[in-house]
Amino acid sequence: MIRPFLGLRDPLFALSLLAIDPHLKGVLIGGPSGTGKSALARAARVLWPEGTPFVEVPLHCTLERLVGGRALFGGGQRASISPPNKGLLARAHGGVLFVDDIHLLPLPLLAVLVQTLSSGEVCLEREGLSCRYPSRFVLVATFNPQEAPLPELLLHSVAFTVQTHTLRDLETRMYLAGQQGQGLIIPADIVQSVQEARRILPQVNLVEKHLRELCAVATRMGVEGNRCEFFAVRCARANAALHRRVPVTRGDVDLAIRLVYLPRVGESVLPGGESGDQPAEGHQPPQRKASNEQPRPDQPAEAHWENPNSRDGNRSAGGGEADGQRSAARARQLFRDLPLAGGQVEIPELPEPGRPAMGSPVQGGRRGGLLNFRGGRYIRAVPGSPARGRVDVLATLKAAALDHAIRSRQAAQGWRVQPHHVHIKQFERKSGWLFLFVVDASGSMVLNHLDAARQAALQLLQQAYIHRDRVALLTFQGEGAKLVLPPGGGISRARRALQVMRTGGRTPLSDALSKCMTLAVRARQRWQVAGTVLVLFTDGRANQPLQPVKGRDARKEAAWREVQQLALHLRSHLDAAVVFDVRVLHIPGGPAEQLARWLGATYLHFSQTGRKTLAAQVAGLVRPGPPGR
Amino acid sequence: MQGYTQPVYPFAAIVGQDEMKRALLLAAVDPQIGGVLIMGHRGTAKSTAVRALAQLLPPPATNGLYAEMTVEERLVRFPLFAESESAARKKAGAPMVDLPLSATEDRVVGSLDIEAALKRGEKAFQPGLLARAHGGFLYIDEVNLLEDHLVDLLLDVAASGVNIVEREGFSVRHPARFVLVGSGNPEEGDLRPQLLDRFGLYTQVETITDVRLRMELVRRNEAFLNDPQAFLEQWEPAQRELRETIARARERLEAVTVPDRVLKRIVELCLRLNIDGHRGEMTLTRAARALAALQDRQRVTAGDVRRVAVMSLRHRLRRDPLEEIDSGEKIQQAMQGLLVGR
Repeated sequence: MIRPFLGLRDPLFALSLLAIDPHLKGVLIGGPSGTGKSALARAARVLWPEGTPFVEVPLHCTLERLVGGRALFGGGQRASISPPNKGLLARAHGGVLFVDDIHLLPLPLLAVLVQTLSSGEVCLEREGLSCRYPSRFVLVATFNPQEAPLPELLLHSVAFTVQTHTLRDLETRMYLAGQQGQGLIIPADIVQSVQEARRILPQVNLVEKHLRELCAVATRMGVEGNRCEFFAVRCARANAALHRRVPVTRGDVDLAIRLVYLPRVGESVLPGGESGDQPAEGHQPPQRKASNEQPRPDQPAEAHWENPNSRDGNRSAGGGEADGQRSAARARQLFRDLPLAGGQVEIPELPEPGRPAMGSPVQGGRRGGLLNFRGGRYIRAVPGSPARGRVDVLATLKAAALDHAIRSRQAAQGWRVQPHHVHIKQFERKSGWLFLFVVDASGSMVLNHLDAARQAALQLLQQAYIHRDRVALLTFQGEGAKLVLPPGGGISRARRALQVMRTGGRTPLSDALSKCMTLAVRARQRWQVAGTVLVLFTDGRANQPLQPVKGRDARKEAAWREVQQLALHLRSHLDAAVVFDVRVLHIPGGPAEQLARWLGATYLHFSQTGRKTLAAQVAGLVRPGPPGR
Repeated sequence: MQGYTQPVYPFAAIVGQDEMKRALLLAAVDPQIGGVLIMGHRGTAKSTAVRALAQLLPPPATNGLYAEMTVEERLVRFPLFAESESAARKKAGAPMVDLPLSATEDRVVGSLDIEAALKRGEKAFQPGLLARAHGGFLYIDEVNLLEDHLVDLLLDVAASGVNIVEREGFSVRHPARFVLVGSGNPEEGDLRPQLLDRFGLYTQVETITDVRLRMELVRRNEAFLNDPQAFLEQWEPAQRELRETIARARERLEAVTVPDRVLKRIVELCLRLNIDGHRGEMTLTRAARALAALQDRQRVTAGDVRRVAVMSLRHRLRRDPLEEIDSGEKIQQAMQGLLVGR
């Protein structure tokens, strides 16, 4: 019955279970664009009873619209204040909250959303308002792991994180093509089974044996938090209800393990969210394995789950020709995009960086946060149209009252708010810097000061946190670079990542540099950081090019050429950079020093600095004084 | 605060997480310990426990800000306080005030009452969350995600105990002494050290891995969701007992003494751990006293100290970023060392 939705099987299944039991909290649907995830999410509305609220959160949504607030009715009429406006969260009460591309939702909004999802109420303390609304909803969201990593706080708040697969089979594509204009329609028999399952659900019981198994597996797999077993129990029961079974079976338990636990284990569900062509590496292989092991004839929906084609999306599966072609295509793509990325980015008015990159002229000017009309620290009210920002009610009223008092020389009564009275709020965002730590973890590093590099990286990380900068950590070894700490992650995660860091293998320095570039550009777009500071720990070796080349020497040569090109590109995206040569033997004018020149970076070597003061020296180089305050 | 209420999971029914529960109870017995910070993975009952604690607190003896003001101040400076005060009195329980992440600055510190201004032309001060939390608890869920400008503001007020409002033509000062309670997941962003220092106790919660406890947890959660009223009734005796224990401990607290021998131990421990300042030993002493009071004892023992040392000192150690061992273990080791050294 799910045949036409081959690539969307898992998402549709998870949505059905969610529609049966709202305590499952939500479904996150991940996948590359064009796999129909948004279409499915919108179509899934029919799974809920008619009249259930379905509220969509647009990405440009303000915090005010999300939680609610007070609107001012004015503009020529008698001034009045409206009763509190319910926000989108409160309006979704009892229904579905849908966020398309949730990875692009600004973090403050996401945090509030997640908080509401778990507490079930909106606590509104804004603009003179103080009230609470019930807000129990389920979250349906889509995300694209190629565009940005999904914040972890989201993963643990909902039962399901599922992936769409690229639609490869002819039949499905034909079906979708035929549906064009109508979008995706969920077959009536699925809708009916879900409706029926909702009725059956209260009678479904889960015996002690299965409860014990779900709890034991959670412990064995090391799943984080104690909410997961609760989700798993609910998932098993919902699945039983979906298949019109009153006692939960072994198959339901297996399904819960697969759908609820598996995406939560491993260091991250979406490793390499920045890396493009392998959205679910580390997540899908075990998932497939599990469903391989336990094919259950009693679960019709599971019958088509195995998708052999998706296997070749996993690059680590083997070397060979196909691999080479893919990375070549990726590299071409990357190089094609580079100049464009710089040009397309809409760069907000940036403050001058504290210390410009070496070689560029020193510029003066205001060193502060970004003034904007969206969020951050409230600075002042300025006259302006409500279309440009948030209305400052008090300032607007004050302007109107003063105006009136001055004109009529009376106590302020019967104010009229005229359009020219309207003030909007101006904010300053303490933007801080993005500190991009890049650590070489390849085989050759074992001979070098890897431990000292770790130590220095962690000390610097800690300092960066104190100054409220954003920190990201990238390591590279073997096939490519890996973002082990996305910008904004906590230090304990960084510490763990550095401690369990995999070492050995080749040195894909060019991949690391290209990822740095992507991160630097994104950081500016998404977090509006004041600038990016690169701290690179390397021995200057590179022997794994993006473009595949045969032969050891040729590979080295190609890798180094790429490094040069990328470094020169990257330079324009950086505000400061330090290359820290971790080679035991110091060769003046060696490759690391050359790389530093290309990057316009400061070059440091162990012999020039004692270990203890190293972190302090690096910090002093990149930070003469904290920016933005 | 207008609105509705939803059932709160009872504190007594929380499975496991003994350290967290103990820390919260200690803070309830002696607010001067200076609050609790609970950090840990998602889904480990952090905010559930804090909200549950509010149900156990006895109603405050002096109901917040109002009690500390002169009549003149009440009438002239805060005409609206009388109103909010009587509303607060009607509510049972101590003030446990939520500071939501989406709060705006004007609601935190207080500002012009827009409604009064527009409807009656009055220029009145509407007190903010800091005023409401005075004498009670201020709870911040996801405290490490709170916007920086609000953190700055909280730090100022928490340090001085006074909230100074200079805005919209108001010039208001009022006492704002409150106990900070925070929770969050350390992996989602770090807490600034200045803010960390404002919390008396720091407890780390971990995922419960014991299978039987996990099963019990699921069972209780299900029972609460299926019929909250029945569940609350079932747990009411245990809740009542806890409430009485706290109330008794509060009364007893002043009478609890700390023998010099134990005090010396506390100071030695802090010295051995190289803890800067005196906040460490003061918190540790207070926490140990509160524990003795909770257990209905007159004197603090070395055992009390041992059981609260980690939560009182964990966040005060100088951090060595690459150290393999956890701060908690380091404290345990230092305590072992002291025992052996005797």
